[in-house]
Amino acid sequence: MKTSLKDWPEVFERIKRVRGLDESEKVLYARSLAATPTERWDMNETYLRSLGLWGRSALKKLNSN
Amino acid sequence: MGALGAEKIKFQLIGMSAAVLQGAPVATIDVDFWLDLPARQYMRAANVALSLGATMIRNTVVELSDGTLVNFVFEVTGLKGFSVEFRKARRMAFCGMRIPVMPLESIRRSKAAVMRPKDAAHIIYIDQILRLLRAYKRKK
Repeated sequence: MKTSLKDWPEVFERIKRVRGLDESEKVLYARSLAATPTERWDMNETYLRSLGLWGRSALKKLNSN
Repeated sequence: MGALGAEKIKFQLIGMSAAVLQGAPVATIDVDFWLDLPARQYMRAANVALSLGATMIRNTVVELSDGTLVNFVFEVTGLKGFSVEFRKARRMAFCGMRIPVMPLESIRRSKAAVMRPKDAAHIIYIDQILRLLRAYKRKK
């Protein structure tokens, strides 16, 4: 896909008739699909940092293995 | 990643970090690299990371200087060998480089083979993304 995050309304238009997802889920997927790989990773990192879940402290907080 | 290449260690990005790059709307705290090395050589990869200022957390987990957690993987359940999967890898931008990334279908297969509780949830997201990508392409 040659889109970026700002193009998510265009992606939403194309997936809005897909069954089994409500509108908010379709917006979520449209944003994720429209984004470039770099934007997708930035969203992941920004979200986790906002929760204080970046770096080794996340392992302790989530008791991850 | 460039340093791994300089050491002639072939790698591919796998797991949910690879799924995130391909559009899965999930969050993951670490980056999983499947290395074309036997597990007993884990220190080769760790030494590359340590030489760049990373901190060793466990034998196969390092924390890079920017806080990114990297997990080195030497075997992946449910898939064929490294070389077979490497041929299917997609080249994608990640941290300023183009690197080999395992396709969603292979990630799904490995998760279905392991099937921890979190894998069942991840498979739902991967299936949705694959379905939506098909719908998107049909509408083009």
